[in-house]
Amino acid sequence: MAEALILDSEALNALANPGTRGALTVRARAIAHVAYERGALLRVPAPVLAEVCRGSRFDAAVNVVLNRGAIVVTDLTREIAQRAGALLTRARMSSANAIDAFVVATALEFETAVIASGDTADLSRLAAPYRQISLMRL
Amino acid sequence: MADAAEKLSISMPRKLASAARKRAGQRGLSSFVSRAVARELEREALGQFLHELEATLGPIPDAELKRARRVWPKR
Repeated sequence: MAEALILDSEALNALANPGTRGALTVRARAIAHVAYERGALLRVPAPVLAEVCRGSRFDAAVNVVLNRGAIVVTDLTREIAQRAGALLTRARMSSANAIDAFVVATALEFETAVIASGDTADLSRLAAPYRQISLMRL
Repeated sequence: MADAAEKLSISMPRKLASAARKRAGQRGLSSFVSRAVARELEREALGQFLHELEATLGPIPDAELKRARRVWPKR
């Protein structure tokens, strides 16, 4: 399967709320631009929406971006969920990091993937065994 | 639930059709073409989205683009 740019909550917020995110939006735009140049697909793992959809004011901006069709939500399947559990076990991390694990497990659906995130520390532990996954910090 | 399928009749250059059949197999051709169309639509939507952000916020600073290109993994 193709290359993907996986957006975590910070990256999605930066693109959905460009007026309030300043430097984060600039970096997210730059990363999305390079993804476009490289022909990568933009994906948001469905569980990430649990972090960003916190009321109608927040949801509206996210929905506007997602409804454009440029960024596609990847549903949480049984396979991805079970893979996320295995990632947490391997990294000896708790369920508090479940959404990060879902992000990495979604990245593994693709041949190669770049994860754009505001905080890459926990993601890097989870993705450490996988050379096909790269992390880009906003 | 998956969308219901709609049967289409399309034309494409013979060489392209042959390459697509060879790559996808006769039975997988619909799925192959569907993925290609979805990908192209996504790509167009992303280009339009980035263009509109640029019109609203101004161009991405060159230094940020260079950084992103440098950090993006070479495959």
